[in-house]
Amino acid sequence: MTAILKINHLSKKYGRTQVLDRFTMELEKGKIHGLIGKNGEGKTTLIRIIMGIIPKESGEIYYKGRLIRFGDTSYKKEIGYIAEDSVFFDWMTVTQFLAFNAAFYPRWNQSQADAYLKRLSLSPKIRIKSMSRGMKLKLGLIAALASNPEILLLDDPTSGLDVPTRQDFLNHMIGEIKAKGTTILFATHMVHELESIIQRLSILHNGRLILDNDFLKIKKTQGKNHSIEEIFLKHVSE
Amino acid sequence: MFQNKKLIFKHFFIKEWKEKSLIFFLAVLFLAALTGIRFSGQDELTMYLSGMFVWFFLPFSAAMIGSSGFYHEYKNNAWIYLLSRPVRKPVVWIFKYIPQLTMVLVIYGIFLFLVLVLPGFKEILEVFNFSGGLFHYSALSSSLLISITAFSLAFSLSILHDKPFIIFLTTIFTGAGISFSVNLYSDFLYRNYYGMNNLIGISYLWPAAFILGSLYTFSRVDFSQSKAKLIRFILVTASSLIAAGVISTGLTLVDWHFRGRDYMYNLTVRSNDVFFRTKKGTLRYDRLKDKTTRITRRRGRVDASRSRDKALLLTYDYHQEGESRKYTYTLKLINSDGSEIRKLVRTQPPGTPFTGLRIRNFDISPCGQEIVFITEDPRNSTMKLWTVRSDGSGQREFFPDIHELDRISIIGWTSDNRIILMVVKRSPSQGTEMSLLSFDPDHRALKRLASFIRKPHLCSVSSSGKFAAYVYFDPTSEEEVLEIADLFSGSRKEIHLGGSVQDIQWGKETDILVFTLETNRVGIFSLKTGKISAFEFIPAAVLDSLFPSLDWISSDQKLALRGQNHELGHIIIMDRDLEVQEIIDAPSSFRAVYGMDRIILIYNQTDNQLWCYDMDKNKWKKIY
Repeated sequence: MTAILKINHLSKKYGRTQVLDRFTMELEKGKIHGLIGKNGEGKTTLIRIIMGIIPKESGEIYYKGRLIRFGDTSYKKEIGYIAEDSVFFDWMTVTQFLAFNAAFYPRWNQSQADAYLKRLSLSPKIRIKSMSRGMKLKLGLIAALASNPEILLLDDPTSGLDVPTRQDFLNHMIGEIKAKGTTILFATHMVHELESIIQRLSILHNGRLILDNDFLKIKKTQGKNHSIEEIFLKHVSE
Repeated sequence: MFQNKKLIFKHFFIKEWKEKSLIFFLAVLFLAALTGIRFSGQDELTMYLSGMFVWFFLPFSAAMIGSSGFYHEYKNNAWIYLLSRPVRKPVVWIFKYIPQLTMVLVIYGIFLFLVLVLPGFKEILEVFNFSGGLFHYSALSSSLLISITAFSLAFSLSILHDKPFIIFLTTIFTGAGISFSVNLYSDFLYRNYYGMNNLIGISYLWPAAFILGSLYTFSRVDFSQSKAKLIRFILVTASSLIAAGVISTGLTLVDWHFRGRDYMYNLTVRSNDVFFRTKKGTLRYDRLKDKTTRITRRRGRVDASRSRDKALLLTYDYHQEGESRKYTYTLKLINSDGSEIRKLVRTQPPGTPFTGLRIRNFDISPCGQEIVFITEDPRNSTMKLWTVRSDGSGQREFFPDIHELDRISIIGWTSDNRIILMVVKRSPSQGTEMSLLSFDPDHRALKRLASFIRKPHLCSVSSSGKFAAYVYFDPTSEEEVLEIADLFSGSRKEIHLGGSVQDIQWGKETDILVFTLETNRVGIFSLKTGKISAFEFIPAAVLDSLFPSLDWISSDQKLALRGQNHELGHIIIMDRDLEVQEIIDAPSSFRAVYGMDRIILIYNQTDNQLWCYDMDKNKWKKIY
């Protein structure tokens, strides 16, 4: 297995609450990883630590074998990130936002961004404050993908989306991104959504991974008829 | 990499300016209104609005811009987006700080442009220049410093809360609190170490402490954790503030060690001599010989008597007894060259009438034959007046029963050897009442000349000893009145000026009086005509109520007036009609000006320098 991102014994506390407790995980290049856990189990915290938004308490993160320290920035140029609630400066138009975002990425592909705008039917002139949640997700995706990322971190991106948008995102867009060879970490508490798209499944519980394996192997050992939801509930209740 | 940063900065610049455009628009609107008012020629309204702008609008706008420093990141929860971009967090902080600061600077720049371009605007604004403590401040540069400080403080705090109004109020209270503490500390240093009157660099260091606290917190602390953020911010900022205080005190101590110990004080200017004291002793500058010599190693001061050939020198020593200092005073009669003629009074050894007393005030009569001095008993604060002849004989004591709350001080002598005194009566229930009295020691006759005196330091007797000028408060009109009393006939001339008097200077050879008002107006009162002979608005003048801003020169035919253009000092020479004759550039800014006939003396208190200008040679010379 070629790990593009390696997390070793990562710990994080909020006050007295231990959110991540010596958490260890690897992301295999080109695969779609599903990270599931209950609300408040630390999925968002983990992604924010990877993105260098918040500091960790202990542990290491390696990107392409290189140790990442809090404050490092160069690795972020190769990571796309869509936050739980895609939030941007709401006074900006789509064009203004994409221009602002482009400044951070030397590998930014504007023609690709334009193509995605057409593909996802987003008007360049529309202001972010008048966009629906689904439209904001699309904009976040465009911002992430036009920078040609090696890894795409998705933090519960579908929560609150209407059903058609969610289906389009899960059935079509994710597939397209994967087809480009992008590694995806899809963190969600809506476990059933991952059924048809992931290649590897990790379950986060009490700050640690209690299951981390190829999804096919899991299905083999747990039985083909078991859904992810059942696997999740089984492991979490144990 | 650099190209990338430039591009990021450009986008941040555009973003920040667009987000704060409303405040900028309001400022431009205010300035446009100000320009319109200036063009319409409404001087008073222009002055009022300019004052509003420099002291309130600009600093408050700066604080408002800074308070909303991270408002849009909070409002849209966009800080998650911003902090996950491939750019260092301190760079984000700085790239937000600089564009917002430029907004403050551009508003200030537009105002500065208007001040320089619009006719008469600059002069109007100079009214707002002020003196604080020992220093002179320009309204324009002070306003800019206050605004940048307010902005930096508000911006630094804005990482802590999503409500700009809360940040704005916190900025005001924090800024006021720290300024107050810095002033208290400066005051403590000033009282304990003379010459150490300004904490070097503190005006820049304390806002820098907040910037450091904010930068560190923003870069290192979990932005989503308000409590952790606040605690870390307080810790780092408090440590930085302490470091700022230590650095500033250190710099001040070093400066004081090399410069402050030689700080001059008790400056006395006589017709041909200048006396002053430093910690090295009492020094005298002889104008005719162009030489400075030390007349005694002791700390001392010389009187400002009009007696040309003799002077009084008061020296003192002290020794520590427990927690208090015990002083020994010696009053000597000296020649004008500083050589001693005789000791007149010494407050040691035990057994003399003066033992243990402090000599507070002293003067020599114009004929040089009589000496008057005031003592204070430190045990009960009671004061007594004494006279003695210049040969040491005829010692007399007056007012032995003066109330302990009352104070007396010597204003001068009349030509018939009466003493003009200021008596301050203090009553816990009725407050303080100051009166001007004439005292005839030969007949022990006391006569009240005026009551309700204001600004006692302005009371003075004319060179002939025939007139006294003073300022009193008229309860009927509720305004200050300048009054001139004839010390022989008792007649008085009230001069209602409709403003606050700042300075009074009698002619050195003639009975002519010049006065200044705080509104940059200068007037001359002629005793011959009993009228104001000239009264002019001098916009370039810098007037000061604590130090003389003007003096008579050239046998009372001309006046030397203190002026300043930004940081550069100059002297405005005017004739008796207050027509400007000449403007002389000074070698530095200065606080006080003294006339010695054809010599003009300036005192630069900031740099502890004394310069003299020879009007015949058109040359400046540094005396100290």
